[in-house]
Amino acid sequence: MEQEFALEAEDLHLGYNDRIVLHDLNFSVKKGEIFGILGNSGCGKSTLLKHLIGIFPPLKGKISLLGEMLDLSDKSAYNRLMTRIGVTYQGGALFGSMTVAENVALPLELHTDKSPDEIAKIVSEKLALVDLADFGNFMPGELSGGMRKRAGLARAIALDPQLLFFDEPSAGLDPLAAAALDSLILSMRRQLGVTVVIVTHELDSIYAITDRVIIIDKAEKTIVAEGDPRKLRCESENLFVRNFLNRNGMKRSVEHYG
Amino acid sequence: MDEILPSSNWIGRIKKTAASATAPVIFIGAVAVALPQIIKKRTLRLKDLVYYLDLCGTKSLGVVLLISALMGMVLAIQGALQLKKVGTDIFIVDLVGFAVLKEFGPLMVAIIATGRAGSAFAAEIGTMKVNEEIFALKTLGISPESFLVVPKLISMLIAMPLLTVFADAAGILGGAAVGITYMDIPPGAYMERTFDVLDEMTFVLGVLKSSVFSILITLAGCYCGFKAAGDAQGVGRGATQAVVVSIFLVIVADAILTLLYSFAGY
Ligand SMILES: Nc1ncnc2c1ncn2[C@@H]1O[C@H](COP(=O)(O)OP(=O)(O)OP(=O)(O)O)[C@@H](O)[C@H]1O
Ligand SMILES: [Mg+2]
Repeated sequence: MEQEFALEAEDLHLGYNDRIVLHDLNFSVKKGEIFGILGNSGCGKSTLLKHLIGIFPPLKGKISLLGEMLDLSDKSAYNRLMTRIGVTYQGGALFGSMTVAENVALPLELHTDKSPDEIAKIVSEKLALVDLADFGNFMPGELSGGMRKRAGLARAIALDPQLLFFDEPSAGLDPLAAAALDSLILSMRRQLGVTVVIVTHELDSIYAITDRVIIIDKAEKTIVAEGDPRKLRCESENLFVRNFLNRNGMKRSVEHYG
Repeated sequence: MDEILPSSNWIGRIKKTAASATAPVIFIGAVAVALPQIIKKRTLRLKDLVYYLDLCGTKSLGVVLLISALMGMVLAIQGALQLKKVGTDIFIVDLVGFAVLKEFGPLMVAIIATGRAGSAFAAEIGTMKVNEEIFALKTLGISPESFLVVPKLISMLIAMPLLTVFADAAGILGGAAVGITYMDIPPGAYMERTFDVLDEMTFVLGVLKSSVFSILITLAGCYCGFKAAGDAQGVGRGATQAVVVSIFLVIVADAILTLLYSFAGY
C-alpha cells in the first residue's frame, strides 16, 4: 500500500461501438485528493466515469485503481476491488424493491461477516451522515430526487471505501444541501482519508472542494487543461478553460448589461 | 485513430458478431458459475426467495387450476366425439390421463409462468437497467447474474414442478367431470381405471419436463431483461421478447424431451 496514486489512466481511448467519444487521456489522481472532472454537457464526463469504474471496457489504454490494474475479464478480482470503491450515480440508482435501509445494508450483508445488529448500527450511522436518519423504512420511490442521491451516497460509503466516485452529486439539490454535501465530502477526506473523483458543473463546489481538475473540451474530445482550478481560472492560456471556469462571472455580467 | 473502433474494420466486425452470438452462452455460463457460489457464500436473500415463490407459485395457482381443469374437459370432449364412433368410451380415461400428465399439465404451467413470471423478470431487470441499478450492483462488487437470476431460478425450480402436480390433478378431474356427466361413465370406474393405467414414471417425467421449462423461462426472461435497450420502450420490447422466446424454447424443449422419452418407452 505504498503507491502514491489512487487512480491512474494511461493512453485511454473511450467510445461506444462506432464512435470515439474521448481520446488520448492521461491523468492520475493522488491518494487523498479531491479531483474534479469538468467539461461542457455531452463532452463525455459520465462516459469517462463509467469507464473508470469498469462498467464499460475502454477501446484502448489502461486504468488502475488503488494500485490494481482494472481487469474486467477476472470477475472475482473486479468484485473484490469494487468493495474498496464507492460510486454514486446521477439518479441515485437505488434498488427499487428494497427500503432505503436495506439498500445501504446490502453491501454489508454480501461482503462482510457482520451480525444483523452491527449492520443495522452502521446503516443508521451512514443514514444520519447524509441526513436521512428518519427515512430508513421508506421505499426509494417515496423519496425526492435529492434524497435519493443522498441515500445512494450512504450506500456508496457503507463499506468505508478508499476511493469515491461522484457523478454530479449536487445537481438537483438546493444550495444549502449542496453546500452540506461539499462539507460532508471534505470531512470524509479529513476523517477517513478517502480519495474523491467528482464530476460536477457547480463552480462553487469546484472552488470549495477540489484540489485539482481536468477539463475536457467537447470539440477536442480530450483533456485541454489539468491543475488547480483557482490557478487555471486566470492563468490558463486556453480561452475555453478560462471561460468555463469564469462562467458565473460571465452570467452575472450578462444579467447586468442585458 | 478511428482504427481502434470495433466497427471500423472487418476483424472488428467479425469479433462483434461473434460476441453477440456468444452472449447468451456467456450469460448462461455466468449463471452456472453463480449458482454454487451464492449458496456457498449464503448470499441468497430469503426475502427475495419468498417474493418470487409467491409470484411464480401461490399467485399462479388459481389460474393454473382453472385452465388445467378446462383443458382436461376440452380434451375429454374432443376425445369423446371420436371414441363414441367406435364405442370404446372407457379409453377416454387413458387419453385424458396420459395427455395431461405428459403434455398439458407441464405446458399449461409453462404458459402461465411465461406470462406471469418470465415477462415480469424481463421487465424488472430492464427497469433496473434504465435506473442504472445494474451498474450500481456491479460497482458494489455484486454480480448481477448471481444476485438477480439465481433467486428467480431457484423459486421457479420449486414452484413450477409443484404447480404441475396441481395442474395434473385438475386436468384429470376436469376430464373426469366430462367422462362422468357427458359420457355416463360411473365415477368409481373412471377413477379405478385412472389409477390402473397411469404409472408413476409418466407422472415423474412430466414433472421433470416442467423443471426443464422453468429453467428455460427464467433464463430467457432474465436474458431479455439484461439485453433490453435502456429506455421505457426497450423494457416493453424486452418483456414481449421474453414471452416469445420462452414459448419458442418451451415448445422446442418439449419436442426434444418427448422424443427422448419415447426412446425410453414413455
Ligand atoms: N450508452 C451510450 N451509448 C452510446 N453513446 C452514448 C452512451 N452514453 C453516452 N453516449 C454519448 O457519449 C457522449 C458523451 O455523453 P456523456 O453522458 O458522457 O456526457 P456528459 O459529459 O456526462 O454530459 P452531461 O454533463 O450532460 O451529463 C454523448 O455524445 C452521448 O451521445
Ligand atoms: Mg453526465
